[in-house]
Amino acid sequence: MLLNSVILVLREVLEAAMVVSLFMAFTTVSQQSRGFLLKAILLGLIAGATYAYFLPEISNWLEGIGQEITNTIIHIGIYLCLTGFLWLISSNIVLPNRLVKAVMMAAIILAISRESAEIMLYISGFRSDHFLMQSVLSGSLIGLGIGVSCGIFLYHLMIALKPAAATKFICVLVVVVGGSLMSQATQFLIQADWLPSTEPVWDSSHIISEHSLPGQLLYALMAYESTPTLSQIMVYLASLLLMLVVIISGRFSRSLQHD
Amino acid sequence: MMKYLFKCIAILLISFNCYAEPPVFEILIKDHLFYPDELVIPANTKVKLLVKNQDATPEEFESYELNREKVIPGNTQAIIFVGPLKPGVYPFFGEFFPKTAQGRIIAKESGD
Repeated sequence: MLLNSVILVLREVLEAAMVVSLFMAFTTVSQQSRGFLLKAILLGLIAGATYAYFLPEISNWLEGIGQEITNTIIHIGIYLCLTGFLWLISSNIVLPNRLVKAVMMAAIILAISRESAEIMLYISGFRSDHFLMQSVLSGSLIGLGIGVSCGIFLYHLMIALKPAAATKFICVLVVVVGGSLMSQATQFLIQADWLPSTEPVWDSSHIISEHSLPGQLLYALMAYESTPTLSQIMVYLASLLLMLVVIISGRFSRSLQHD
Repeated sequence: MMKYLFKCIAILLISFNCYAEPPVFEILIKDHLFYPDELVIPANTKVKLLVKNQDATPEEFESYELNREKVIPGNTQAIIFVGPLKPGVYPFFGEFFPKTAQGRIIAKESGD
């Protein structure tokens, strides 16, 4: 049970930790206070608890696909916030701009709400079993610790760079995370039968299995699927492309302002 | 004009018929086990899995091979659309209790 909890919590924490560490690094690089990010984390946890509490009702929405649609909306919401963030910083609107703060906060709240809801639901399942609860709690704490450490590592990796290089690196990671979120959203829509399910385009499970540690890490970083469908690949590429277009157009509008 | 309208309606009805409700298959979760733990479904057909969690604890139905994941709170049920699948074996598991909650879907052609 202990190891199981470690892996489960780590998987969820990794995804949210990525988003948080990106923005933490950005605030450090642009020499701003991080207080609002901590507020966002707290609000995200409250939103997560609310989502977990109402999950039985939410699941029943839309004839049983409420959960998939809610998750899709959350994923698209984070993607839009990240895209907005990219546009703002490419057009040189940096902190302490209120809009930049708002998109960062919204992205963190959404990312943490979805990931923490699953963890809270998982742990709450053991509330009647005190014996198992102990190992579940310690496993979850270890998982949380490893996940947060990964986030801190990523943060230090980014702030060790020169500010200009760090901002570029942050942008690249935001694009990778963005594509991964949209790929997962597509998967939820296929599961809900709102998008047609087609045969996988390839099967790379013999190279990197999704059951393996590298597979899990790649999943957390870029929604790795060993058997992706065409719609997932198309949406993934289109989301990456859209973010790149946004960065380029942001830079273009900046150069126009300077002229 | 009316003839044309009727034709359109007829074509629409036929196409709706093609998207008829997929067959439903039930899976129970009890004592952190799946019943049945081996489910045979028709290959190349979309099916609707009705997963009933009879435990008080939540469970997450997960399958890497099927690309599916869904949290099912305790004492509730969930629907998950699966397929159309090529003939083959597709393992699934309960992410919250993976040691016990293990199962597999076997997609078979009707003649097999």
